[in-house]
Amino acid sequence: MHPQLMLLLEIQDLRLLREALLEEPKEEQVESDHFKLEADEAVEALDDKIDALKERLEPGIRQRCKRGLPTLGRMVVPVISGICYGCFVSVPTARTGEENDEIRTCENCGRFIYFVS
Amino acid sequence: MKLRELFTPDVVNLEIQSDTKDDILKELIGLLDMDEKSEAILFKTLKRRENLGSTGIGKGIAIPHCRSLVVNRLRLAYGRKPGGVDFKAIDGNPVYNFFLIVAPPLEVSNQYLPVLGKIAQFAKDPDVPELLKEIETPEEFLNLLEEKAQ
Repeated sequence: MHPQLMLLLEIQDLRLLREALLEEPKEEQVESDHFKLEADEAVEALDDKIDALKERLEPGIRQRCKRGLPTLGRMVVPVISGICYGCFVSVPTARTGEENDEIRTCENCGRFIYFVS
Repeated sequence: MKLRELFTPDVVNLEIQSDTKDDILKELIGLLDMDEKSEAILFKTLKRRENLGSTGIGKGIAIPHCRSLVVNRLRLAYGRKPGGVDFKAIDGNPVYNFFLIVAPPLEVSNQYLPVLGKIAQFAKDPDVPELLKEIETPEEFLNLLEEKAQ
């Protein structure tokens, strides 16, 4: 797997956790009730980590994320059974089944894509 | 959906070998049979979740959990460490039982939170820690879920 793609996935996973704590009251409640997690402190720690990881992105990729995030929301999405899970449009079959060893984007929505087998 | 239906014998390990928090997470992830890179990403995400606050909920039970792009459906695993390990649990006691839960960001059946809640409830049953200690086969673990968890 391309190291920059791994980095994008790590960042995205942390964003998922951050979104859950900020925007999903039920998830925030489960974290608080069962795991005694303080959402505010957790989000702050996640923001620091996300910023640190973003610094390790190549400038072109970082710039693309910065431009795309406000409109696209998630910048890296899985491709499952040939479907981009960002826009739900079929990815050309010649490009499926990859080893994720290159940075690829969806031709339709422009998000970075990650092939899940 | 019942918890029992989400586990299979191959994701149950009653003899976890690892002695540290990190290695136990890796051993649990190994039960999911993923490729090496996906395992590495998942480990980092779980580890970062643990760094925010331990998922050790007390009474010898931990529930490491996260959402991750590297899975395309809800995945669960169970591991038991007979000697227990320091997992920085809420009650400060060693953890013997580990329930791993990983869900994709978009989940059609939306089971992640209900399952997380069900496992937490199951773990709070006062009989459960002792019963988990006594099981000898993965099938017995599944039977216990059938009996005690809805």
